[in-house]
Amino acid sequence: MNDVILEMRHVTKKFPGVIALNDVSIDLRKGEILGIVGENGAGKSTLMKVLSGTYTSREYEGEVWLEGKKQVFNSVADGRSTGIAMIYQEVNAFLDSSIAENIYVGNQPGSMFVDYKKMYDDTKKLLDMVGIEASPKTIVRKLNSGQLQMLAILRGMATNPKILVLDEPTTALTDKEVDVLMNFLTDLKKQGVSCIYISHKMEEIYRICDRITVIRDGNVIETRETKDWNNNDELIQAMIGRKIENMYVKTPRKPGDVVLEVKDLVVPHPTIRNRNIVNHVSFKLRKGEILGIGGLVGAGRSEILEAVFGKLTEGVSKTVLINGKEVSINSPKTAIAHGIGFVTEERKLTGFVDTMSILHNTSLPSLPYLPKKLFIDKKAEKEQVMKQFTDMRVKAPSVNSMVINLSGGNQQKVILGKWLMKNPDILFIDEPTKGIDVGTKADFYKILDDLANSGMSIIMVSSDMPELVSVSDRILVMSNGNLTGELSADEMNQANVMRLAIAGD
Amino acid sequence: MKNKKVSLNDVMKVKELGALLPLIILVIVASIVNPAFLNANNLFDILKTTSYTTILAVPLTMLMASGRMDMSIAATTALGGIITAMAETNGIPLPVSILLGILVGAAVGTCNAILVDYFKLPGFIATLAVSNIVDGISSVVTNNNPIPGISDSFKAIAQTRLAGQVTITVIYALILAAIGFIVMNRMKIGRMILAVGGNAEAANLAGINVKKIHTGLFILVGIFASLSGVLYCSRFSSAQLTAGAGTSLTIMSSVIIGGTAMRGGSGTIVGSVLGCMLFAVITNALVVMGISTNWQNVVYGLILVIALLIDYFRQKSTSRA
Repeated sequence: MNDVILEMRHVTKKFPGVIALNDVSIDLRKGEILGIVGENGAGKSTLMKVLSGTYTSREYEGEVWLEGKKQVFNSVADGRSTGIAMIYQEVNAFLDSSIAENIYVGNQPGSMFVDYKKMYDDTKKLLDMVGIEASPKTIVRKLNSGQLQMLAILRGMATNPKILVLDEPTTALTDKEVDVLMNFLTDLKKQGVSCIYISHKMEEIYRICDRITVIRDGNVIETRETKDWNNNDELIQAMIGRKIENMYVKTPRKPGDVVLEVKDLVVPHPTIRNRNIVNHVSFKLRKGEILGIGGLVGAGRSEILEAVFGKLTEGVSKTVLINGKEVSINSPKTAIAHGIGFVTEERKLTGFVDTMSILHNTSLPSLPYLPKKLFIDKKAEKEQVMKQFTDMRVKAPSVNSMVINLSGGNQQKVILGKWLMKNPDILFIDEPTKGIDVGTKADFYKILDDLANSGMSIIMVSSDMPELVSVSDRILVMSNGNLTGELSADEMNQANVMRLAIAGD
Repeated sequence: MKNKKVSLNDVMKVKELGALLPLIILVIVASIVNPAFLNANNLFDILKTTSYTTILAVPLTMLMASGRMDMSIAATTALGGIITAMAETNGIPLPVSILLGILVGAAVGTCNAILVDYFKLPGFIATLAVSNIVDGISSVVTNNNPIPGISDSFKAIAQTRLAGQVTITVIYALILAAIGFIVMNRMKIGRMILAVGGNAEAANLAGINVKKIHTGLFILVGIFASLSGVLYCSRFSSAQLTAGAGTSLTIMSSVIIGGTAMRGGSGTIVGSVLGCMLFAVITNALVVMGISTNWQNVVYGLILVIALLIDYFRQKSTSRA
């Protein structure tokens, strides 16, 4: 066992009400590539934050051992100085500086003055290694997204790390660039550099990893040599195989006519040029059905809702038909006027106004529709809000309580209530039960079921697999901006969703 | 169940208290030091001063409640008066002259809105830059000379007194404050302003046109800045470059100390009026108590610091979650 370079022993990290990591132990050998796979929220990124020093040693239980020595991290800088280089999914580059300056930022050669010659020479060597034919003095803004991603990796390499941690490094890369990266990592391995490789892309994991660790719900499920994982299905089973609690309600119902049709929706990627986060997607929503949208984080699911609702407009092209008639939705205001409501994912950021009470938050989307044109009919307002407040069984002293002081579940009930008060025909709901306790979750599933039965048409984006397959009448699956499949009621299971979610572009 | 003891936090929640409490203390101190402070004439003078600032503070309260600020008020006040006076002294009928002044104010407000809400520039710096430009325009068009010779009916706009004592501007301010109060507390648009200031993105998703609200309020502040310039011009019988000088900060201080949050989302018209009154009383009390007016700016600055500190602690006590 003396070829083990890194060991994480019995790491437990708790957040209020949630155990993100539960007694997790992993080890990494010298010159090995270890793959880590798991669903969204399984605990992969928390684990990496422990390793990088983002969470200091006091903030979790357990130990990190590097080359036989116990490490105490008080900051990210501590983590970096031990020879662990983290490469994240998002590229944080200084766009108006040169390639060399970006690679050696905070780490320039020379003592008081920067040794530019050495910096440029070293950069050139690094660029040659990954086959980028650009001068070290090239301004980074001119690089394409794949080259930018490579730059982030080179920045990690410039610190001569013993361990390289890559978190979804290929999302912005083309197939050819992926090949270059794979070869590069294999070379590094031969030089004795160890690597932790986190990815949703199974082919890449199979291709370069020596061993694969599966994490689920904060626990290490199993670590095996890659050759001992027989096939994709076995891995997927390990990733999703949790017990399905019986809190889902779904009464049989027969969806009616098409109420919403979206044709050829295109939403450009917010940071990567020449790529679409939603790539020519078309779908239909029927009256009284719950249409689920599954896929991995970043696959473009939320963006579908945001673009149809008029929240995202820049560069978006779409054709939207409501009840067979083409409509133009260019702002949330027009979407609401056309009978759409939208419960967003980030409650605190977009769901409610934190300076306002339950009463004022609940009536906000309905304000223009309350009786009287200019003035607020306070009696009508209170009556309608009270109805939602009681129907939703919000636990709060009164409607005058501030929403910000409620629990996550009750905040979510207020947000749902504010849309129901407007009485929409179509409801978008993004991650309906994110960060909500089990009891309130069950309440929610009951409410959604009732709403669909009463004829409301619902589109639900969810990363919670059991929820997605249990609540939806039909599921669309997205992968990398593309609609990769549709699952009807009898095809809906977690394995099928996962298979489509990781289908290549 | 809950005990009835009033905690410091509860007291802090009464937004208007930041202005009311020092106001009461100051009135007591000033009247003890010099009983002449309570003379009717002196009190009417304080009311007059308050009325001028209130006319600006009411629209500014709405703008700040929506999460924006405006440092160009003082400059627009001067330019509004100058344009109106120039038009009137050149034979243009008074109502049309005032309309021209209003248009200038609206134009300044539009510039602010474009810079801050369409180009997303930081509000403080952007409106300060606009303020410089407007100041410069005033200098250019007047060559730094006052514009005298306005008509008697122009003078009557601000100089008329009711019942021999009350300056008519006090009535203007009262009416405006009442309208402001109704807008913020009873009207749909007031609720929308508060929502935009509290969380612009959540407001947008609830169907509120955030840019439209900000733009409208910037223009409103510009218009009232111009109108206050018209009043100053009428009061001093001539348009002056120094009309409103230095008021941008003091009026903003009045609004903040009155209980409107710097980051938006809350705003009280009553508090702003009290804040304006506080400044008027301080200015007056310094004189009445025989303290050198050189101390004025020191005191104004201190009040702004105190107002900001109150705002800071109020944010801290409400945003625990």
